[in-house]
Amino acid sequence: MSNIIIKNLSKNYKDKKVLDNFSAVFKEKTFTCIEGPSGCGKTTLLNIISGLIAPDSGTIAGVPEKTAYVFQEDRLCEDFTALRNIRLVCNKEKTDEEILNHLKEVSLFSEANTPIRKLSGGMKRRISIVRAICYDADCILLDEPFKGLDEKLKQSVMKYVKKHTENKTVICVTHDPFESEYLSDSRLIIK
Amino acid sequence: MKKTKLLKLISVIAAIVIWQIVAMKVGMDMLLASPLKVLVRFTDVWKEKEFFSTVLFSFFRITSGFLIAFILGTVLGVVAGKIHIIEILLWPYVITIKSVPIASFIIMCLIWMNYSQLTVLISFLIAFPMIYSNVLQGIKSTDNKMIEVAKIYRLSLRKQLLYIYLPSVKPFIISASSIAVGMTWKAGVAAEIIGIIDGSIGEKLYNAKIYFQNSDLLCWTLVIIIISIITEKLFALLLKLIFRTVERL
Repeated sequence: MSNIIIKNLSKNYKDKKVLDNFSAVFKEKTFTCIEGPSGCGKTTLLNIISGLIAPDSGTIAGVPEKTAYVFQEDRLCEDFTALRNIRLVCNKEKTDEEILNHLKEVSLFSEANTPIRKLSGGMKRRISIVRAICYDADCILLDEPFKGLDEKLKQSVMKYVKKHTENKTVICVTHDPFESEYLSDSRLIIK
Repeated sequence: MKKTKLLKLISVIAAIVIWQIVAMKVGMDMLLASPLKVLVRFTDVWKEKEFFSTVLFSFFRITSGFLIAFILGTVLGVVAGKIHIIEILLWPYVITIKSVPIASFIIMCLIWMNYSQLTVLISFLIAFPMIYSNVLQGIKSTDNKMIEVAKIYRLSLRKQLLYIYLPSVKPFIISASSIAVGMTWKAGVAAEIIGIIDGSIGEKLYNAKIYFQNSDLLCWTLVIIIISIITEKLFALLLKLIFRTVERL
């Protein structure tokens, strides 16, 4: 693992400049929170780091091959159970028991064998977080991961995320300064 | 639900009554046999020695054509949906099969090939574009966001097909095969009539026409409808079982 180094990154959508000559270094094994107003390019930055979109110019280096991503939407397979959705991204060494323990930590043990379409928005959100954690990636990208969770639940899920992301490079987009303060080792504000 | 079924039953009975009245007004069996006469003829026909061999003869050929089209249409639909150049390369063939009248194909086949293979080929030609186009559309309508998930988590092709593409393609395959089964029976029997294929249902219909046996014509038509519906239901059941097995993998 190494630092993620971004140099002079620019991205336009039609005539709209989303990222303009953006440079940053995300230190390895560090939890970095990115804050900034809506439309300032936070999600675009995560999409570029993950390799889903290409920048118009600039370079990006040091992104680990195994990177997990919690998108703004849950993006789960609706017809399959919570357990199967998580198992889908795991390697063979990861046992069902281990996955169930993760689900237990986010209070979803009893929903493990329920199809996603039958679960609430908050439950789906937690499953997409557990999926990213269980992937055992070196780097995790989180795009407003606690959106839609009530305060009590948010606290416990944040605790879960903090516990399982030690020694991992994490880049988390958030609008909530409290989340930033609790989770991050470093903060980046995009204006 | 029960009310709708009851209303449907009443409308079917009403249609049969109208048919009976019209047949009585016409008064000539060779022009229009009454439902009662068709029913009486049907009870005789199915007891005839060659009834089951005739039905099996047509069933085997029409179903073979459909199954080949189903397998090839599904495989090529998936491949073309994933690889755009394959879709472009296949486009002229698919559009030709779709647009050329089936009668032209039947006549061309009668010139080129063995009569016994005609039904298989015609059934294939009718079903293939339907299955292929629907599978292709299903693959293309797969949620791009889920494709991104597959990319991020580096899912194998098997997992992508099973978890990302299958849920999207499934409704397309079910509706396409339901329509295609009925269409293959229509086209397959038409090919048998034009080709006057020995031992087929089409031959029975052809004989009914030349000997002015309207009750035979309607009786065999009834047989085709019944077998077509049974085939459609059985295939829908088979698909359900296949999907359930595949989803458990």
